Amino acid sequence: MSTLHLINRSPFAASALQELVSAVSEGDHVLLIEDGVYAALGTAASKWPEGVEIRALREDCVSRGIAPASTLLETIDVAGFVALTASTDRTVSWF
Amino acid sequence: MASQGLTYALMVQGAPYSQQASHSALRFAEALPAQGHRVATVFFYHDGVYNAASMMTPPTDEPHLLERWRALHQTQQCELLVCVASAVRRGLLDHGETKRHGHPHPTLEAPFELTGLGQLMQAAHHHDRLITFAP
Repeated sequence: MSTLHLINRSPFAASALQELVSAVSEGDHVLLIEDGVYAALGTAASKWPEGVEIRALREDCVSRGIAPASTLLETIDVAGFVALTASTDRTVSWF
Repeated sequence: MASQGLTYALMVQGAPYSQQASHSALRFAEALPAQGHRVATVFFYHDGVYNAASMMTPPTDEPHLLERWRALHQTQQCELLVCVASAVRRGLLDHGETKRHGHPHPTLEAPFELTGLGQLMQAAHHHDRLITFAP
């Protein structure tokens, strides 16, 4: 059973990201959306446990002035978001 | 592809024009058919119930969220369920609640429907995926 975790909170404004990091397990997927994409900047990306795939929603990066090339993570579009929800067994939202 | 299509329930908890949740949920829902999926239920909860305000009148150069939800209902035949406990205390009343509480005009109209949390449980049970769009 694989889980997709959605997080829409900035790591600079809320503790949701820390809680998520402590709860994910190997094989899980994480998608940063809305203000959650700020976690794609700088060193925040390196704290993730191994075996967890982390991506950021490209539109939400671009609308916040974060160029996808400047992030340390893979970015995906909304079609990729849909595909992730279909390929995982369930989705959990952190906020 | 269509035979493998999944049905989705979406829960929207964010207020329109204050938080991104409505936009994120609509963007997601509108992208489902391209991959053979469809949204079957949208459940509006907490401040998300304001998405159903029938007199919503945004400036013409801004997205009209109520119209987008109505269009989604038309194109994907999804039900638009609004938590009655969240809605009535925020002034969103359908015809029946309007009469019952002695108010002059309903502020919530079809295709939105007032329902209880039982319908959310049912949607979560019947559909393949439940995605929460948080405030």
